[in-house]
Amino acid sequence: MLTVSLIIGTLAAIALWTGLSIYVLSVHRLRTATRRILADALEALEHADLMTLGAEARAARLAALLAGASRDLLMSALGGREIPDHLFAPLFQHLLTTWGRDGLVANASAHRTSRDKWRRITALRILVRANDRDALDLLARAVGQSDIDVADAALGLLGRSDSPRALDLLFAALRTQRHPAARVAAHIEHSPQPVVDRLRALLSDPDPVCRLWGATLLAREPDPTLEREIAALTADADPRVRKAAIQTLGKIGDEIGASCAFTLLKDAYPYVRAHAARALGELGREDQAEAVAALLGDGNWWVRHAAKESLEMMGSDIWPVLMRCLNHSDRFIRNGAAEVFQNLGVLDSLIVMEAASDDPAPLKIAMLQRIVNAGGVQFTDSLVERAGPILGPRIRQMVATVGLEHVGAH
Amino acid sequence: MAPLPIVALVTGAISLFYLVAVAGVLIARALTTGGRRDDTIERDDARSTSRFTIPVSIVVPIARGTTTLGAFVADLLALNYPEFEVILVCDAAAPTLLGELTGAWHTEARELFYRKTLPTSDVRRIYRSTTDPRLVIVDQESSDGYADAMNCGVNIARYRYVASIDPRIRMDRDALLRLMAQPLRDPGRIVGASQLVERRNGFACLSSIRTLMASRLVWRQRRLSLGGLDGVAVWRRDAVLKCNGFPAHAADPGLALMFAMQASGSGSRFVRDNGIFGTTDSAATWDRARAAGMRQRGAWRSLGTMLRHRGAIRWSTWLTFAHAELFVPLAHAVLLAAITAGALVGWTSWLTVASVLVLLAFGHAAVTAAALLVRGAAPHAPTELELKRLLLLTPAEFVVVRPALALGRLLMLSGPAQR
Repeated sequence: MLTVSLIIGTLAAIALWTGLSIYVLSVHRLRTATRRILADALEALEHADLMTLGAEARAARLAALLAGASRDLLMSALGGREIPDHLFAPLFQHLLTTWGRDGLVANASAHRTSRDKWRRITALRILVRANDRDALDLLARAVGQSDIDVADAALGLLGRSDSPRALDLLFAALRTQRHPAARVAAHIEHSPQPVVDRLRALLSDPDPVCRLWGATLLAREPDPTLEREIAALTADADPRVRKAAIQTLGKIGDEIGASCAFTLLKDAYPYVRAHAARALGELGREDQAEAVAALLGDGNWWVRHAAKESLEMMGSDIWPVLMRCLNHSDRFIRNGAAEVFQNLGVLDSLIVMEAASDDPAPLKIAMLQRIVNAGGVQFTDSLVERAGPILGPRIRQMVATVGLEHVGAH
Repeated sequence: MAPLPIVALVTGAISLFYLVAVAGVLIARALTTGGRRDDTIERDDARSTSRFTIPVSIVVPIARGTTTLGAFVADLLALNYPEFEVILVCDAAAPTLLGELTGAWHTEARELFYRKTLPTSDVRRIYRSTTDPRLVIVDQESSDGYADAMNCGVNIARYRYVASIDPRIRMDRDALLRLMAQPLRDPGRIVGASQLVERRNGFACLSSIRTLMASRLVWRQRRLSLGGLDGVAVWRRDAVLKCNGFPAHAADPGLALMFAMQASGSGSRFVRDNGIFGTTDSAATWDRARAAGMRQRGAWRSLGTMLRHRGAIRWSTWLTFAHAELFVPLAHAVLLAAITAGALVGWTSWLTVASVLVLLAFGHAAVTAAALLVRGAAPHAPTELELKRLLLLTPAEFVVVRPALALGRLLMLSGPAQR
């Protein structure tokens, strides 16, 4: 009984596998065939003889070519960006003629299942590209909903639009913050429309999130009149706004920006201090190197890292400031200064010159001593390796001669 | 009938019933879903060029003895993503490898003072490329395995998210953008995400396709997730540090960390994305068996995590995970053991054993055929010829590969801890 049951079960499993395999292959063939239909139709549309036909004749010919194509297949083709405009128009017309506009608008209005979601996003893309009269209303509705995929697709479409209303909707989305502001900001930044005035208006918005994004997005606007307005935000009560303001001033600011950055080096929030340090580096303010170098010993790693990057941006002329850091009691400052020397190339230039000469200058040797002392053993080993097989041993010898070989920074 | 044969019969029947039920549900869902592409996230030009897209540190553990990386580093640095860095963590880098990297990327030794937040093996030297500042090479004295290399990479990483990518993976330029699609949706809550790396040949290809089906039909519905066996993952750095990094002595450090992250509460989510990151060649059968064993061990240990953090991870999430990793292999083993034992002592016949084996083989093959349907029109889908070849392979997979995997699981349950 057991054996018989199992044999029946086994035969059923074999039949199931066979049936599924045939089904999989038939679905694949069907998919290939329907793709072929679309490819053939697109190829035919490219031919001059079809394009020279009258609208009605072309539509009839197209209808014959696309007889086996499903609505979803057409939508998939129309919703992609690969299809050029001159092919989009006749295909879109065929879609409307065969299935009507109402269905497309209904698809773009709402969704329930994941398949519906795909249709909604695709329908939105098609209607926007076709400059449909209801496109912006549908996009507004999509942005107002909680589904991030639909909203993101709608925001992307709004970001590429040159309609002023599209920009209104984007800024409204930024204000409502139903979706991550960074996503909205990315699309605003890519908008082909001028946005300076609108961003300016955000600088005095009561919502700090709007102020910070207004300040952040203005970094791309090379307008010197903005500096004073953004500088005012460096005294904002919200640290995120101060950070955004100083970050932007680092890109578009000048004297006022540098002054604000200097003030914010002592801000209570580490990320504000870090961006203030970077801003001074971006502005090339070597005169502030001393103040930035003090942050090499900040309690927060990000601030120390930002200080190093800033000093590197200022260039090798700040070396006297770094030299004074090498004897500091704080090992983070010593390490940081040594690393900046290394990354600026000062160390390598010094080494190559002195190690290659027969009579290295004592002053330069002392300088080397202080730098490798601050950097430590591995720092020295990296230097020796970098110097190469000829100079490396000489450097090792120089370091050993002055008793540095096994000295670490801590 | 004596009690022992009854027990064997009952356990065998329960196992068979469980396997038939699970297969039936999967096949039904596959038939309903079909192979349609439900991609709602197409290539997003704004995100790929926006300065607001969260930067990523890509950590690549390089095994000892690796002498060449070929075009891998170039492929990584060519990824279409606004801001990222590449950290190669080498276990005692071979001179030929360093020579290759120096020749291609003009690397030089540069000391870097970084936060050693997680304990790791000593670093002998750090190299940076002078032509592409995004590339950093870390030469560890002697790495303690994958977890150690990843922790070292996490220490050095500058950015908010850290991805781990195996050097044998081939990917297209948008791969990182796809991987980061989920974290970019909700970086506050999504602490990690994984995507499948598809194996392109042999029986391993079938396993990849089934994993993809599980991602699309099963894990998609879950709020919390756990990554599959073959995949790449991206982690939010602060969440990794909060969990004290990749556990060095875990059988599957990535899996253990996924559990720990989600068990830490505060609404943290690890998302198993249903996309495909890239492809890789099939591993040798024994390597696959060993990996399956490590994962099995990790899966059993996850039960301990569940019990320690009751309420933080839903039992439904763990059961979904345990179903594929533990219960199905166990059901196969129990059924075959029961029926074989029965034949050995004369309760059943060898014809019965053969019937069960063929039943399991074709049942498994039917599930794989359903998975091929779901694989459908996703990018780089098999051609018709490849599809036929794969379908014909499906019945043989259970008989050829499963015994090796079962042996691997048995051995790894008591073998050395980590990979």
